[in-house]
Amino acid sequence: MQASEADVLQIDENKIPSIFIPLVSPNGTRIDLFVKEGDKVAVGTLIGRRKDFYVPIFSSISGVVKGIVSKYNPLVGRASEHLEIANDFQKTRSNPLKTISFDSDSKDIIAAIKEAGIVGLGGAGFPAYFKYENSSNIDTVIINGVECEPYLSTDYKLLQFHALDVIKGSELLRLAAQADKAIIVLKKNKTALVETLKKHLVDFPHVTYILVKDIYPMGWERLLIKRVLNRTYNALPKEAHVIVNNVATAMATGQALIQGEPLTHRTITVSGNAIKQAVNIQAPIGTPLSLIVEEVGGYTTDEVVSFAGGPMTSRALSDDSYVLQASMNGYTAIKPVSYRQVPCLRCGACTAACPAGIQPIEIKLALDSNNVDRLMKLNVDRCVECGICSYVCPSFIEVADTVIRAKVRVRIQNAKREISKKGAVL
Amino acid sequence: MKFIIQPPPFTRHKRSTTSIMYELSALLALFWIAAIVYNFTIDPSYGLKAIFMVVVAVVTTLICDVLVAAITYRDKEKPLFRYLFMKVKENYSLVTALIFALSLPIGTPYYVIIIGSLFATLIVKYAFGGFGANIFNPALFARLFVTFAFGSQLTAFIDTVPSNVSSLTDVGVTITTSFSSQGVKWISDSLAGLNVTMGQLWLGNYAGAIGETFAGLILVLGIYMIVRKICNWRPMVAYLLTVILTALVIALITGLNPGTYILLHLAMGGLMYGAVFMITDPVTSPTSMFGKVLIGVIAGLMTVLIRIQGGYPEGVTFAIAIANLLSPLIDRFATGMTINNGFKKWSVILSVLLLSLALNGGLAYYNTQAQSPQPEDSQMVIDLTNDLPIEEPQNIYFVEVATR
Repeated sequence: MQASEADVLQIDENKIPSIFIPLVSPNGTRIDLFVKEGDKVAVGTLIGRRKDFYVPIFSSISGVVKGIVSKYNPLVGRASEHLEIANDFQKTRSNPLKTISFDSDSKDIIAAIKEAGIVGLGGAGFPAYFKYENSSNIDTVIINGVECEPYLSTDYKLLQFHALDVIKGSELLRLAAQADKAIIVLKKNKTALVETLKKHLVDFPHVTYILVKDIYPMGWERLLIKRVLNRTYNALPKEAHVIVNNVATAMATGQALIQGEPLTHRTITVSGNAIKQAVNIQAPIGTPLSLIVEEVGGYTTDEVVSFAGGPMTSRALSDDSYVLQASMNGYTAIKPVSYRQVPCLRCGACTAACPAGIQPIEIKLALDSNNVDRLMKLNVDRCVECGICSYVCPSFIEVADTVIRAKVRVRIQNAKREISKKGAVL
Repeated sequence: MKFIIQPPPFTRHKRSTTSIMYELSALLALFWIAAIVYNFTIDPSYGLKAIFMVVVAVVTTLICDVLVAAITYRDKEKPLFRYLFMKVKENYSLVTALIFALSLPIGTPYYVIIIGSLFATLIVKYAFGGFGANIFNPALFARLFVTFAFGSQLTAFIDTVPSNVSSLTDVGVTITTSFSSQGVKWISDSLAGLNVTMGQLWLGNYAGAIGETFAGLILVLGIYMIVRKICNWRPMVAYLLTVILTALVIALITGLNPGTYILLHLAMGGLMYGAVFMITDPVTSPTSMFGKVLIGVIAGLMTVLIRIQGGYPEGVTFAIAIANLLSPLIDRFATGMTINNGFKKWSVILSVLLLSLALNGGLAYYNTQAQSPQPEDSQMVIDLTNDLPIEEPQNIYFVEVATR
């Protein structure tokens, strides 16, 4: 069941006994804690900072620090430490951030983004300031509101209800990058948003919007830049003088830098045919997903396949006790469907559909015959794991899964060759 | 509450191989009905033959499927009947049987159909590993096999020639054979000696293979198949375009009417049938889109080459068999050429197309120059023999007669 076009629900915060803030960032580095057991915190209190990048972490509810517990963290892929904060239901706020105006210069804005702890909210969770600090000659900032995965509609909802914040954020990001323009990219079928955007864009001459085709994986950076600006690049978008940020990132930037509110809540699409009521719901970061699911009515079946995100790329997870994190945009639970695999009929649908321009079925055949040289010739490393090859396969072969395994295989082979070249002993 | 782990993506496209194959079977069945209706208008015995030819082919292939499935039954866990059912269902032999049976002429004896079906299923398909692993299109290869083995039995008439068959030149001679044997081989835009009109050639109401004579209906089905994504459009369109362009060049060089000549090339010798049902077979095509275009162009080149220069009246089956044979090679060649290497891809395709135009055009020109009868001599021969026109020795073509 797709999430309805209705409003974004607010989770009843009185029903959340405690939240859990992950103390390990997605790339596996730990977070320095500034609070200890028994400390009182308010919404927006600084509680820690990442060790590798300068990313402050804020509390999303008011309450008392209870201690450190171990919980499964899907972004890290294993159980990791979480800081438990018990809710005192007071909703006291502290706004630790300085506000900034539109005539500030680029350095101040980047510093403010850094202080606000803005990370990429499209899924990667990579610190936003880093892109701006390390790029020059940027002429365009693309605000990605394409949201190409089925089921998800959070970006749409954010643009619908927080259009002004998104536009302000886009303008700030544009100023930070010293770019000529910021382009908000939408899908063609989201015509309802165009009116809202037009109304607010009058005051921001450097921010525009553009509509793109409703295809998957349109939200992929490389394809987006190709379609919007007709530019290509090798490794990073900055080679094409472009920075891409998600709509949610732009909104968080706007709210943090203009209103001084750090990112403490996240809107998430809870949907799927095994969810009783599919909704967009806003909840404090750190809320266990099982609580959110309960809030919307629970599951409809006893057996579900559930995952954080959309159905194309997310990995199925074995429970729902993990917590909501800033870079999660959806929670989907579907009834399990088993597809009966039949032999490949060599129709080439996967090759025709592949946005990276590789040949998934040839990769599968090469991996099945253990031919690593051919795998390398087939450019396996270009795969972006979008899952479209498995989606289109009429024989229901798990092509995407095979290509991902082939990638690992090639990586191992490359490492082995590297070692043998250097003469190192393993 | 139980959380089940599956690999992503968790949503799949509705088009499945099974639905593609059974929709194709339904289209072929529709086509079969057209053949039955036409054959009943000739004679009830013709209509019944058209029904039973297909039934015999389908039953034979299904029996083969069951036998092979029973031999390969290893998994004792599953119930045998369910295993057999799934095996038969997922080898899609119905399509093979229908394509094979509809490509045979009405006078084909039942034992030839049975042997052909056995060959298609057991040798061409299962010997290579069943559906998805065969290197040749089973129906096409079985058709070639019966052409070689039982050529003289593949006649367009059952016993005697019914009086109401309009398009008759001689017993046992198909339209394509008569056409190719008049004057210079395949260089003619006149249907004068054939007793059929262009309209009949496209509507299909003349004697020939029970299915493949309906060129117009096949074209409509082909467009429907492309729209419904039952087959890939690339091999079909590339094949037809190559034949059209090559025929256009030949017509311009030899001074024929280009429109008529192109339509004759398309309508005769089962070319539409090959283009829509045989070359589009995904199993025997390359997987890359470039390769799918390339086999179409290669098959087009070979078809016209065999037609104007080869020893057979027409060359669709041979050309497509050659294209099938080249697919693995093309797959190797096309490694890593998908959204990049545009120049390389187009230059290969265009050079094969240009080769087709130059080679076929040159041969056509050479043949017309070399074989055009000297006006004085031929006049003299006819004068000498008075009222006995020299006939083409058609018995020489007896084996080739049934070649599509």
